[in-house]
Amino acid sequence: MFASVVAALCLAATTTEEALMWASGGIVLGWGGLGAALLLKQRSMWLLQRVVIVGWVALWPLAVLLLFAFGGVPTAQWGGFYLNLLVTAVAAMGALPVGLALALARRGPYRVLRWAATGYIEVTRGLPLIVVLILSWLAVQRFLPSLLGLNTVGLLPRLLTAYILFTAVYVAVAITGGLNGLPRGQAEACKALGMSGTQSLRLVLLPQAFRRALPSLAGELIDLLMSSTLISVLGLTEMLAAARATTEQPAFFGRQKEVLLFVGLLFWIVAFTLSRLSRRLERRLSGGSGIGER
Amino acid sequence: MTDATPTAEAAHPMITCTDVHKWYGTYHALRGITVSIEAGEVVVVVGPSGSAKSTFLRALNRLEPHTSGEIWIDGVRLDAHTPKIHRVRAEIGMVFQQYNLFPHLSARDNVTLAPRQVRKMPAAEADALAVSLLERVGLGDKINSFPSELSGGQQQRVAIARALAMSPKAMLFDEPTSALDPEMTREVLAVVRELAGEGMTLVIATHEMGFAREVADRVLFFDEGQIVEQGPPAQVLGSPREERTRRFLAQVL
Repeated sequence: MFASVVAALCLAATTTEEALMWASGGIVLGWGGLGAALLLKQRSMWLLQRVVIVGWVALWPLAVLLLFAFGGVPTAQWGGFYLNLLVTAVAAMGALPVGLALALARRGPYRVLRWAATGYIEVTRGLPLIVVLILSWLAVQRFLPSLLGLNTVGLLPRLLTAYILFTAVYVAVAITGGLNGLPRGQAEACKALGMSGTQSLRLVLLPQAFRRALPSLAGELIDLLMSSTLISVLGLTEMLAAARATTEQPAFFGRQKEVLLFVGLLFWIVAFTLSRLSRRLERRLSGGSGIGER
Repeated sequence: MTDATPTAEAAHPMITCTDVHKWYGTYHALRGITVSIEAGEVVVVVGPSGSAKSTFLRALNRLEPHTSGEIWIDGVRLDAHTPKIHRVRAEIGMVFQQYNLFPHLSARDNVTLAPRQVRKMPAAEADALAVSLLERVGLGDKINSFPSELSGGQQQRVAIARALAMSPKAMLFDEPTSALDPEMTREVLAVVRELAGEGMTLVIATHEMGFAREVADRVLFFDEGQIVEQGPPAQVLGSPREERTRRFLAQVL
């Protein structure tokens, strides 16, 4: 149902670019709702739970609406810390399903998929992020077909796609590591109970693999926030670029220290919050199950 | 009834192996196993470490695919072409030396997972089943405990309840007490003894000779991938005919 709503929104959009932004909004929306529902799954917090979920769900369309609807700000002119958070959130949430698919394809039964996934992972792992970003900037315009206006898609959606595809590789590696670290007996117990391969992955192996992968996934998330500043190289005014632009104005000459310290503090606050949240999540997930202790 | 189940009229043994071989590369693990096990029979497999007792048990539900020979489980032949091998496995319970409980699930969820997912049993029914099975193995007060909160013996009893929840036609026990201290061994063997008394088909690999003598209808003595000697426990363990059996028993008794 949710997917069809997103699809309808995509169709309603007038340009491919707008549709892509709606789609990325859908990604954030879905994960946000899911996360809020999981974290607040306590009956005593029912009202708060509702408020948070509705808030999450409403937040993104509201932001996109505000940015698009009234006169419309082109995505190329979006800027500030919002852009850093946007890149981080969309890339992280988009990379999880893509990374999971890569990890599964790599250990799956189909040789073609296995090769494709392994090849993609190994090639992308050897590229610096900045190269991938520049590729998405340069190559896409030259080589993508004009079908659906793909070659005219704005810079931001293209960069978001590049971030997702790049980060997915590291997600895939983390999940693969989690799966490989499981004792062989777990898969055998599933088989002996008559479970199919898909059932054992979904119900037994992946839940455990995710817990094991959680610390490195959290690390990737913080890395992502830091590397979101790279989009300034391609002309988007994210936080760091904005800071630099500020210090170049005559009124702020000689104030680099203050500005950079402030920006640094901002990143630190978000990164620190993320790392505390992931610690809490790890503890919560390993609670009683003893997986975290091993 | 699944479509892996043959007609009831066909009188056939529960498990039949004919000249079963297993190679790991150049290592010849199972060397021509021929044996047939009737429904309701309790067969205990003994033998020195490395005699392929485990491999034999694991071949019976195709956790280890055999290299040649035939294995029939309740009228279904196990080979690479067996359609829906997991349907056959659903009918054969297995208990492992290392328990292999699912650490992220409570005792109850460990037991209900397969009935709900594989047998599509309604949640309430599966819950009731889990409670009754956990009570039966003496763990009625541990229903909500996670594996990490249980002792080895308790974990192994949950594992037995988990296997029983699929109402298997036969149960394979792969050295179920080898990782346990004597007291826990006693509590696990008490559960197995009860199953034997209820007419369940059991194949048990164990080093517990006293237990073997007590519950077995038949003892198979394995050495170097072969069945060296088989017969009633009193004969095989009491007055063995084969020199290799005598040597093994002299070491363990």
